[in-house]
Amino acid sequence: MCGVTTAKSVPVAAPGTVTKPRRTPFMVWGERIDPGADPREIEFPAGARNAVPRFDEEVADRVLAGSGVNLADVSLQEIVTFLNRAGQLWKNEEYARRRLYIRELQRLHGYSQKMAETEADLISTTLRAHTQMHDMVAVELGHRAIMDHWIRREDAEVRAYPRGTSVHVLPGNVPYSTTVSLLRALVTKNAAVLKYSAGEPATAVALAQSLCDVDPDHPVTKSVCAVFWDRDCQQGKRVLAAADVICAWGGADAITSALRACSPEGVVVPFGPMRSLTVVGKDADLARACRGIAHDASMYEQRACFSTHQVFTDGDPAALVEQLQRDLEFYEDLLPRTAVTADEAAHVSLEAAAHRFLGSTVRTGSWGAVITTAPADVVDLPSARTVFVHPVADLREVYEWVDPAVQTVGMAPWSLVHTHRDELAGRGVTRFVEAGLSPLFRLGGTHDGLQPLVMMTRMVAVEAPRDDYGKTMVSPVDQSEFLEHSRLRDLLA
Amino acid sequence: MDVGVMLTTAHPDHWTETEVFDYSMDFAVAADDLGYQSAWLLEHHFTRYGLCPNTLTMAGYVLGRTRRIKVGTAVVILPLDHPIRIVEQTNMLDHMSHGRFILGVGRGYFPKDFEAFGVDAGKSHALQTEYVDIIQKIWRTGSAEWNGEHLTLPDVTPFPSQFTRPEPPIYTVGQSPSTIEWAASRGLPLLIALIGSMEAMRSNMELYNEVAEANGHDPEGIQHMLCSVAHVAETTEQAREEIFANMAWWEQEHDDAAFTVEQLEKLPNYRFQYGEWQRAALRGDRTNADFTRYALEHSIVGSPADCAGKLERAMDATGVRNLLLGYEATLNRERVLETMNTFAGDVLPRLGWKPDVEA
Repeated sequence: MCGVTTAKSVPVAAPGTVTKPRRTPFMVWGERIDPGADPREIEFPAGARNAVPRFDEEVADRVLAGSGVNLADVSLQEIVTFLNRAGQLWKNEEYARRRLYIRELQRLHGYSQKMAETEADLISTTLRAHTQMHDMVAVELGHRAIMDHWIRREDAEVRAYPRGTSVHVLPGNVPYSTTVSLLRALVTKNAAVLKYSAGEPATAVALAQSLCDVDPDHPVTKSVCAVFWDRDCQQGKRVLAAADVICAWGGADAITSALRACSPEGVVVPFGPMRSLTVVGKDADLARACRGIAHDASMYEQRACFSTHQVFTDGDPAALVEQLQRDLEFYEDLLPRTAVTADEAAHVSLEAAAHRFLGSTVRTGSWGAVITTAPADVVDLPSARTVFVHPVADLREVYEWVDPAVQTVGMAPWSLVHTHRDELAGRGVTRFVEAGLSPLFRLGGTHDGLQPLVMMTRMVAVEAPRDDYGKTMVSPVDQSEFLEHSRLRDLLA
Repeated sequence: MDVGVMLTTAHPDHWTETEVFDYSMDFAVAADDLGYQSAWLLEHHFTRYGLCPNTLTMAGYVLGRTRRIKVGTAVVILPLDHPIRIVEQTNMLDHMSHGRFILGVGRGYFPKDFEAFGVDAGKSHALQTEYVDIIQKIWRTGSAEWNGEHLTLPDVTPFPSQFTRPEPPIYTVGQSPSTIEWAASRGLPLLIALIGSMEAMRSNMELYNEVAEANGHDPEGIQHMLCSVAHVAETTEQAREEIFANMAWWEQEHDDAAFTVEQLEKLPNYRFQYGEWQRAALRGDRTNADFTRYALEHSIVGSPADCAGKLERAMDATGVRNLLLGYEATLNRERVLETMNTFAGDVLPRLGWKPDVEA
């Protein structure tokens, strides 16, 4: 497949494998809709098939009608507490739905047991992170009580209100995105329609069902849908048009479709196609740096927007490549490879062949690929743990290869960030991490340059009356009086 | 659709021990007369939660006193016993009843049982799985020879052999996903407690069906049973009120005998049960009354229409068509018999149940 030089082989999905489709429901405001006699079938690269309901007018009407529950009436602590209960279920290995989810990720995507368990653990950890949820609200919206109370802010009292109904157009490459998007909706008290991708149908439905497992009648349960529609589906467009906020994840087409479908009153929060890279200085601890790069390139099989694909170094490239291959081999055992699609495998093969032709140093194996080349020679960035190493004389040479499509820059050693962050940020980078921490989004950070909770809420202000002078005045505020008696302007200054 | 009756042998203050067993026989005979398909016996030790310490002995008596009804164990606590003895006794009952006996097994949940009988509770799951393998091996080959992790057995042939061919069924209690997956891999039918949300119960069955299919068993052909306390009155509120105190007493007897949270924390093979305590704590249940209320909300307790509706929803959600109902919550002989009658005559027919008629 990729010039395999080691014993282990990466499973390549065999197309056309006939399997019985697994019938999977939609969840609409806590109620189940089973596939009928004529389901929509979704086929996956590994050969698995799902049969899901068709998103027809009847289903769309149910989604648009809502559940009658207004999450705005529920306190944030109640929402957070409820999510914690769901998270505790996910934490327990003796939770049937966790086991079903792990099996589903393996069946649909060829995830290894370890990787699938890691996804389940992420759901558990995230839903149980009650302190962090309150902190998210505090960091992004200014005060942790602002979703429930009026908070004094200078000369006004401010309170955050949900926008209403959020529709989440979810990606197929990172299952965890679903959990993150749902969480953002719920802590901002927005109802959430999770429109899953044909590439990743498992997480949205599993999450919605697990809320039912906790309490089918809870307002949070009744504020979540997990559904699927094709991009050109008219009923889907109805739902998008009615959304108060659309969180659109995915490629350019997904973002464009969301923007087109969104009403003038709605808001689109775009998480479009991005790429990421790493900078390794000559003073870096090479072992630590390469372990970090291997981690950042292995999680989600390098399909995530934060997955590093390129490494710029002013150090010894041969030593780096040698160490990086060792670490990618280590990761092959630590995080066994997910089934690679035939397209992905072909992509890697093509790039490897092309770069060999160009005279670049190419190392490939079942662990992935490391290609040493000039950045100008890179046309495409395959995934499947393929890392390009670009030797440079000076790390400032990285600047010309950075644009607003670069999301995350990993740094090794970390001290490099102080030297390069201003220039790189000016060129469009929105996130700097220490190499190895790319998949971990820290509290207080941004997502593609945005603070999503801000965009998912309406900040309502009650401004101070005339008798509340504020800092800038020493008498009651009355614009009319000042207009009438212009001497006051000087007397009271 | 088959419906069975649970004979708990619970021992309240106002019954003597003899009355407990006498009434159990009355209930079994009535169930036989009313056309219920089965009666099931529970094994417990050292607790008034249930007086029957040996379901196989009691099964023999019930089979003798009845004509048609099948009699099952829900359950034999397998790790406390020996697989050869279980096979011997099961086969004997199988012959003597001409196939009316059903073996149901479980791994136990009361610490004094393990302590008194010298069994390591931490190995209950492993013991159960190994003993079931031995039992099935004896049925399939006639020989008990075994060299396993926990038992080594000589090449002996237990007698009698089984009456039911090729072999009798084995039911197992199935709550934890580990047990569900194990049972599914063997194609063993489950005795499923009706507790928790419908989606949660459905997910248990989905897990079972997936694993069963993956192991070459047809899930459609496996006859699980849904188990619940059952009681009926004119209104749901009345039905709950009538049995609340008794259910609370029974719940307390259970909690006093079962593993404590501290004990469960140290038993990785009881992670599911630990999770149940955690879930109760997180939903705010603090007292015995809270636990009882929760149990009643999920039980088949209500007006006839409410009971039928709950059963129908549970059967639709799980795909399970067979029921095992415990009618004794009034702890009053006449009321229990009345409840059995009402269910047989009014509630169950709404679901399409038909009593067995003696040929």
